[in-house]
Amino acid sequence: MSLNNEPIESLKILVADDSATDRLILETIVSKAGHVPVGASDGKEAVEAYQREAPDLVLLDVLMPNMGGIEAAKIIRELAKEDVVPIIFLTALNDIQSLVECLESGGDDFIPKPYNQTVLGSKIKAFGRLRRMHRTLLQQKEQIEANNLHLIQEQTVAKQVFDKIAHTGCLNLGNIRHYMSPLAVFNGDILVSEMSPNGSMVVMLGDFTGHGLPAAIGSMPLATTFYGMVRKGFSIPDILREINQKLNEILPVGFFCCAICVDINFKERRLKVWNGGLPEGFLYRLKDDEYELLPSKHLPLGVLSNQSFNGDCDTFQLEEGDRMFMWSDGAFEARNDDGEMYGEERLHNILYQNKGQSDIFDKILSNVQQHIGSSEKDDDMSLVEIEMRDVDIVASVDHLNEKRQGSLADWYMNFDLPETSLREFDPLPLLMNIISEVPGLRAHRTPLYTVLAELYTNALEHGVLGLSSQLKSTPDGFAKYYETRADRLQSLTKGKVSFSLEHFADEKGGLLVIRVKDSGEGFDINRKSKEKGLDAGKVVTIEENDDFFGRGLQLISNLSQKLTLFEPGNEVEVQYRWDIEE
Amino acid sequence: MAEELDPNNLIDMDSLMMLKELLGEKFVELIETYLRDSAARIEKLKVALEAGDIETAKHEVHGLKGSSRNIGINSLADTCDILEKQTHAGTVTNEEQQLAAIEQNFAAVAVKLKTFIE
Repeated sequence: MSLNNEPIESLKILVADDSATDRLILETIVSKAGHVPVGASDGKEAVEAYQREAPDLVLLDVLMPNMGGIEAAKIIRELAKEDVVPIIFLTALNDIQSLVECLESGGDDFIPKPYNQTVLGSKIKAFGRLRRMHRTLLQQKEQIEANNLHLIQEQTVAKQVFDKIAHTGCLNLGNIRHYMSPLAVFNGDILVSEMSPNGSMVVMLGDFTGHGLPAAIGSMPLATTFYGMVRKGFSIPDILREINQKLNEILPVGFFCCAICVDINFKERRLKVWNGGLPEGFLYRLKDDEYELLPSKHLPLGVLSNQSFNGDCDTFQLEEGDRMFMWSDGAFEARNDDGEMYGEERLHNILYQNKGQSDIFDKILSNVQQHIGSSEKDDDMSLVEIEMRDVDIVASVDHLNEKRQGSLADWYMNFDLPETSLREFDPLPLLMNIISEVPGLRAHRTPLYTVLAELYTNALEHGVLGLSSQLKSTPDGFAKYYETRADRLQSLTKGKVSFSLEHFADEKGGLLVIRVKDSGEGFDINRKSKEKGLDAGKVVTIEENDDFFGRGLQLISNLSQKLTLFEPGNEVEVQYRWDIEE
Repeated sequence: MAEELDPNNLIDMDSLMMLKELLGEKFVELIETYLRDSAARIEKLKVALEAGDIETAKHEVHGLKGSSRNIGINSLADTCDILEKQTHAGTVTNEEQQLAAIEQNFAAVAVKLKTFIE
């Protein structure tokens, strides 16, 4: 700020002097300097005038009748509180003791009599500046306080939104234990989990680079993509690929998400793991009483373009009692009061020392927290344990079975896949997506997925590609089967699978009729029927638990109410009945 | 102990002329206020000294000194200063003579000041 060119700000100045001539002179000097004088002839009047006029600056004579300047100054100081009101004493006194007393009573300066116009003018200017600066400071302080409050409110709201997006899912299932520190959200850690319609539990732990809002913001698209795709039955590679692309597009260079994603199918006791950049996970094998490590084999999400991205998973066969541990590196980086990190070694020691014990999770947690002690500042760890045991999957899917307005009731659709699509496209997520639009059918996603998957596999592999399921009877044949399948699919020049889905809603629930037809030659329904001792006919209906054409149709028959085969064996109809209070 | 008054030394004319310039038309008001105010103070001072009220005397003589000094009437201010110092010490000697000196001085000043406002 330039002192010479500062704008003249008109101040209201209280002039308290019992001498009428002095007051007249002072008021004149004040007026001539562009300010507004307010006169008072003693201390009492000065205090009253201060309360009434709230002046910017106070000029006080020391010796006045009724109330002296020093006492008046003390009262004015009390009244002014936080506000800075400069008080200048006017005095003909010249002994040092009196001057000291003036300043100690709350005066900011003094002006000796007789008054000098120039000196007084400069002092008024200087104190006006002081007051202005203090006012600015106060305003800024208020602004900062308001901003801070605003920020806290915003974070609270953001946290609520975030919790809604990221912490639904199936984290409350009995076989998952998880810990995320309160700081974790804004430190970029995210934990999401959801049941897939094929009965798999999919869990993902992510750790975004950086801290604060930039780190937290990427978790929104990650969580919504994750939940949306898992519920529709997409596989981990597809989901990871989609998340990778989203993050790659929206995050700035240098920002990415280290993540570990697991898919556990409790029925098949099968674990799939993809680890990109997070510390190695630990898979405890009950039978061997040993750990198997699940190290990072990929770059974090958001680093690579989708052409270079690799979503391949490692697959493990699980047994009851096997347990898996994973964590973000916040656990290693937890510091104690001396700034020493907890470190990977301490964590691994606990894992090995307590191998096979059921309270490892608690031990790790309490050990890290003990290490941190009172410092708490670096506590942003996330820790997850998943145990392989039978869980009631249907119960976990039920929470999605909410009634919704404007949902599908009666509908019909045809969906044809020609050879070009058959080569690349998996139609099941799309079909599951549509089926999920019927609220009551959501809870039936698992059996419906199985039905559709079996029908599609039969139509594609046996119908269009003409593969024989007998190939699969030996381990070697199994590999050969899939080899042939891939070859034929690549060289496929003509072929089609048609889906037709029809849904009828009624008070009790609804009926879903699924028809799948392929372009293949079909098979001899009559011969098979004869073998089974059934009457030959154009249409074969399986209504009961017949051990019919191999496991595929048997399974479908078990899951549905009615299964019908049409001549020449390339078309199947399944009637799936569902009730509301099932 | 009345000193001889030099009419030319009664008033610091430079200070007074500066005030005249500063106040403009209010200068007349200043002189009139000074004369009225000072006469009242001298009266109160007289009563206080007669009654032995040192506190009031101190206050009035201090006020008279200050306003006199402010408009350049230094000889009166000096005379007041001697009395004020005694009031601070708590003992006043020759109060009648000092009061007479102040009244005399003021009378001379008043004559001179009135020439400025006529």
